Amino acid sequence: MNQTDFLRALKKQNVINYTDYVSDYAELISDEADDKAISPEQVIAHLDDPKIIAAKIVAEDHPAMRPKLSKPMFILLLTIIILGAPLWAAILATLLILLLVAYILIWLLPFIAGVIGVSFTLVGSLATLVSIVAIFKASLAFGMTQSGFSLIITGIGILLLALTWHTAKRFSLTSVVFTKWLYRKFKGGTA
Amino acid sequence: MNPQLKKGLLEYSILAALKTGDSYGYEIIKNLDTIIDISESTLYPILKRLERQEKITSYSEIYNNRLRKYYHITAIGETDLTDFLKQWQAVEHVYNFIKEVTTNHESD
Repeated sequence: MNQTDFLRALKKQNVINYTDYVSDYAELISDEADDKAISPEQVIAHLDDPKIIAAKIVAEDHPAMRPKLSKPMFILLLTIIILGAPLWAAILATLLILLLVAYILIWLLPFIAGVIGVSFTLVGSLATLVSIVAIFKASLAFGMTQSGFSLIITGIGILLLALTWHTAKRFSLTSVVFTKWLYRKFKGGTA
Repeated sequence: MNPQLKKGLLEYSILAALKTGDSYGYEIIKNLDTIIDISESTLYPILKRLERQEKITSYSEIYNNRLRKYYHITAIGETDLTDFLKQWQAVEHVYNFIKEVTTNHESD
């Protein structure tokens, strides 16, 4: 069984907060495969069957099992959802747009820093090259002054690129953690 | 080991492993491998339960371009460990009693 099948089988076990366990097992398989220099399939081969894992989760953690809806209840629920769509769909769309705007605003800082960093680095590098010409074409003082300023701009550009890299890594982690938190809250609310 | 006895010891073993420093799932299993038999199937539900009881907390960090979840023992977890050690004398007392009774009965 490969990792995808194993995690899919684990998801199918009807346990609430299964997403936590699935990500835990995905991480475990990767860590063990890296540590022992073996393939994920070899790691999965010695893990318990997903059904046994689910049974142990229930025994140790006692999470609530997801309730199964009867057919009449399912049809009723579906009817209510369809009839109420004009209301909840508009609210949901607004919330999703607001969430997207929040993500865009979060990523605006590293994006702007990255653009300025690239511009400064390119312009500064070019100006440094041109300043060499200026030393011969104009004067030594002029050329050296331009060279100095160019190097400052290049340095600021490189610093901004480093800042962009660092903040992008942090923001990636924050985005993933925030998204997982939202998903857990949503799942917890609908469970 | 008796499953009920092992169940109680597993939690404290995990807390003790975290007392030495923050750790992640696979590392906890590796560190406890020679101490107590713990499987991947048992570890994570226990970690979830300890987190719910606020004896540990968790946080994620980037490792090798993926997220890795680390666990950290809290003050409540540390107190729980200390309480366990205090209770051990009582456990040892019962053990000695059982051993004495069993030894005497065998020699009769």
